[in-house]
Amino acid sequence: MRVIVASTIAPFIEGGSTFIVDWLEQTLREFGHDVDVLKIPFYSYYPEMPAQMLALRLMDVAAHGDRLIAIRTPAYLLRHPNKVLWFIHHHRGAYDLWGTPYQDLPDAPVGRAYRRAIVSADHLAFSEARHIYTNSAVVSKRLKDFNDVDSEVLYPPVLKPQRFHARSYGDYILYVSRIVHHKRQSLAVEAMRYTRTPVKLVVAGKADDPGLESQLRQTVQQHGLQDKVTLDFRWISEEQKVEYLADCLAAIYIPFDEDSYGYPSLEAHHARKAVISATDSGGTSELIRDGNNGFLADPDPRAIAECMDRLYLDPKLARDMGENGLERIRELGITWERVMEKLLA
Amino acid sequence: MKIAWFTPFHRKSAIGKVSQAVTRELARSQQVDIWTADEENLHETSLRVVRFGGLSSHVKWLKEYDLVVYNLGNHYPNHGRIFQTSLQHSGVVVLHDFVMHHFLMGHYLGNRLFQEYSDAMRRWYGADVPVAEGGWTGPLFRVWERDAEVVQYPLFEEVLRGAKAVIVHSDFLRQRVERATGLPTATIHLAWEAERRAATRSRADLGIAEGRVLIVTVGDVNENKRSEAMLRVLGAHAEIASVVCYVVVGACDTPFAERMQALCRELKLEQTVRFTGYADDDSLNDWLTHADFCVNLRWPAMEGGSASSAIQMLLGKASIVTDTGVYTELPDECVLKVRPDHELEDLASHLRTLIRDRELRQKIGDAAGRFASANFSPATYARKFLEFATALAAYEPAYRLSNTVAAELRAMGVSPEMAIIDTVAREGATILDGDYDAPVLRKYTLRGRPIA
Amino acid sequence: MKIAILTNCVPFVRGGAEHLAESLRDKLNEYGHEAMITRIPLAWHPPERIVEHILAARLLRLHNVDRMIGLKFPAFYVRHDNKIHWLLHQFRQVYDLWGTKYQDIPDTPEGRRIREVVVNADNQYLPEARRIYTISRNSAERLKKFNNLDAEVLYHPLGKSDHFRCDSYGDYLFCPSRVTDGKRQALLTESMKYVRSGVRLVLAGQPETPADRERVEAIMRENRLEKRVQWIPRFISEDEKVGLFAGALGCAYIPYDEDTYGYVTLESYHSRKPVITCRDSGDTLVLVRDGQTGLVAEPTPAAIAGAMDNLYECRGQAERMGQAGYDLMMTLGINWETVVKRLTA
Repeated sequence: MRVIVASTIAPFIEGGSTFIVDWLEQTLREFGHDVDVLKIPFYSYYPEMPAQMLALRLMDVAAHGDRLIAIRTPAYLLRHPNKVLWFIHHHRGAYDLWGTPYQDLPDAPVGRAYRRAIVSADHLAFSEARHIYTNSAVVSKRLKDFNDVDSEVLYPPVLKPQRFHARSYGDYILYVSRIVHHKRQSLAVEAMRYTRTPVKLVVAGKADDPGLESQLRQTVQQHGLQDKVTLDFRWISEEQKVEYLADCLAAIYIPFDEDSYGYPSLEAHHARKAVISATDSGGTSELIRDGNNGFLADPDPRAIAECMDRLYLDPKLARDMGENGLERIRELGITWERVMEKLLA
Repeated sequence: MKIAWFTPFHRKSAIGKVSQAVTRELARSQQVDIWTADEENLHETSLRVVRFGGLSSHVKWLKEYDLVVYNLGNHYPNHGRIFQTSLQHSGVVVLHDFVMHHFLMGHYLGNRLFQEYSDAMRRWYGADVPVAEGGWTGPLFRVWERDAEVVQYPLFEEVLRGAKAVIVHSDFLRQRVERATGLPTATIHLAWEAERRAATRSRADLGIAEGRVLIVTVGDVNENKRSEAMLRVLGAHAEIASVVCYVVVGACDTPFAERMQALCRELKLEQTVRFTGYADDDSLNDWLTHADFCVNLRWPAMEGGSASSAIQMLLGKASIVTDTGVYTELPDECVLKVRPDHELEDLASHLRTLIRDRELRQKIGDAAGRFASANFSPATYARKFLEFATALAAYEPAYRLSNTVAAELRAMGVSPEMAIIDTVAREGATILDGDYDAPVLRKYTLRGRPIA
Repeated sequence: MKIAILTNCVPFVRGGAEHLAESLRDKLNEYGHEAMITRIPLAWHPPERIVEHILAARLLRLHNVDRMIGLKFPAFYVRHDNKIHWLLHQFRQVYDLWGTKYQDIPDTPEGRRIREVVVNADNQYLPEARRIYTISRNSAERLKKFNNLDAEVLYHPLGKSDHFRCDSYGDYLFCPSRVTDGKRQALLTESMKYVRSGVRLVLAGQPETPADRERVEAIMRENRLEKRVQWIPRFISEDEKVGLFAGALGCAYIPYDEDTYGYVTLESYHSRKPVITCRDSGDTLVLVRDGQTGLVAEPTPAAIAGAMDNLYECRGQAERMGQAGYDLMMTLGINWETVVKRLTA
């Protein structure tokens, strides 16, 4: 098939959708399809949104390709007779973040008018789609609650999952992810103050904000955790990630209230490693079942430390949970075969 | 909301007086600043008054306001600077007059912008417009000097170039504004402070003969107010003339007014008709208080609202008006209407009715008073104004999109017949859920509306 | 600098422009910038789409981009306050192709209005750039003639060139190119009839249509040129191409009236091999100086054969001219250092 993958981007700002778009493109090619990817720059400042939305409506790709798969909002405004949405998130400031400190539209008549415009445009796109898939149950629920639209959950897999493997169950818990405030690497480091076993922590990834890096270093210093905590503040390549995961005891991924389970969780499971997550991490609970393929601990350093110690003291548990993790992936159908089947149906 | 209210504000300005009352009411719930180009002898107000007359870069301060309001009327000295500001920062225009041709002539004539004038006339009325030939010297045909001509080329469209929305005081004008521009437009009855003050002089002091019915016409003596019609009727009907005292209160120092006074003498109406000349507020109040009824004719309709009618009705006076323009919308219980094509006949008939039937005069007057209190109050005006201003917010995304698109289409020379107009209107409407209109884009925004 | 390269696209069509954009992006990244490519759809059937896509380009918003480089219509209209264009060409259908069978827009009142809009758009929006470069003299001349805009020629280099090499000056002339009517491989093959020396011809390239294939094969057959002419009728790999250049006597490249010189001449010079071309080959003549860097013949089989014999008879000359060709390339600034410097100034 000839497939157009369309998404919006914020130029030079790294975001979660980069991977899903690029990996979908690569996988479609692997499966023998012809792909063209359209990445349209979009500036989400509300007064300028309608004009850009109109631009998307005017661009004509309707006669090309057998299918258009639209990913990040509002790329799905592009017109196409065979449009499928793989919906990853709304313009949240107008939806679930409306009424919170994160709303980006003023709660004044004008702001409300723009909010209506955003919702109205979304409704248009939803009505034109053949199928709507989302990346998590959380997002599907939001679509239902806010837009009264039904959708099917289609979990995004990692690229070439066969790269990941378990070589050993070592002595370190691994947190590999971009270093960002809401990913709460700080909480993981704090937990190391309360561990009672020789278990270690490796935090790997790059921070956009160097302040965060120094904060973490400071915490380690302050509490004498230098022997227990390794801070690897580099941009971690895919190969390095595979290596790190191959020998870790387990992985930890404890963001605050994310929609999706996150690629790090998935990658860990592909490497047959358990994942420690938190009860308030959001979408990770769709993947992690507490006690089965990982833990959903209270977002508290002591509770997390306990999980780490448990795994250290019981390597069989670590191994079994890791195996369960791989099984969980299969159970949820988080495979590219399923993605291909659904998106190209 | 923080509101900047642009208005003439010197004491002689009736619009200034309306603004004084309306802003006072608005300020009960909003923050209102008055912006005026007038320097002195201003209406009293407790609100902050920004005298922007001498400023040239005041526009940048307007960003601080949630709403900017421009009062525009057909008088260049009073509204010229306000209009210029509106072109640099768009806002809500309160359009007081239908015919704005004279206003624009003040601008063009004053600045020798002949080309601008022709462009504006052609832009709105097509290529075959009677623009002044021969430049400023040589034989000229001045559209603005003939009422019957000028109403065909009112040019209100041109002064609305800085408007995002329009407030008018009659449906008569609202329909025309909407048809021409597609802008959101609301009709709000003109507001006037109801002040019933006792007269300072008696009828005798004013020199009104005992037993005569006092009929008053207010306003500068000009052709539009049909003074001639009254004189003709009085001249032709001695039985009416002999029982009334007809007083014209308003400036009468123009050649036309002098002709009217001469006509008066010619028709031997010196005992019946009096021209008072310019009258101050107290004097005007005296005349109106004592008036048995008023005559308030217009032809052709050039105003957007009638302050004189408002005042007369608030004072509980019956009046005779021409059935045209804004006056058509006054309820029949409150005024007697004269058909323009049967002017003298109807005028004579109504005069007889009101002279003869005191009770009817009273009944009509009372009805007028009730209607006026309910509809012409500044508080009502302020309330309706705020409702409209709030509702405008809903139009903001469409307005901004429309402006952005129009600017680009103008820059690339798209002409109004091209398919892109309908395409954009259709897609714009589907995204904005119906708040978008192809006629808006085609008519107004392609004809030179500036960028917001 | 964060640089966005703006170009148009027709989904699933990859051509020279895509290669150029990608090479530019890669080189800019090499030189320490962050570069990305934004491709905007272009459609022109029905002609109303043209105006829609111009408007769409104008309604887009590039945020967080320091410099924009525009390559093609209508992508170069995208608003940005720091634009430099490297024009491949304008929408020629309204300029020099108007009045020919390639004009693509009907000569009706509406069609003429659309044409005017394109011209107005060029006149209004191209000057928004702080500087305009074009890849060919023809483009620059048209910009001056039709829009009174000044543009400097900035020649496009090969994407990758350090892999070309010179092994020897053999006995064959090499012509790597898609086989089409315009590239005139038929004429080249026919010339071999008149050759008196031992020079051979090696053609490498996919025929665009079966008719193109048949035309060349017929000439070979009818004139029994199988021993003198070798044709590899498929797309050859980069390695194969490099190898064939490395051992060639020279390159034979005789397209009809090219608007912009192709890559073939550059590839030849990077391999230090002279180029035989024709007087009516168009922009290729910018690169080939008769007697200095190659030979320019009349577009007749006999004349071309004469040039081929000429080259064969004097290997020393071939070597000298090949080197001169390389030097000319450098003199003309056909290298990425020049391009990057100009476009990031």
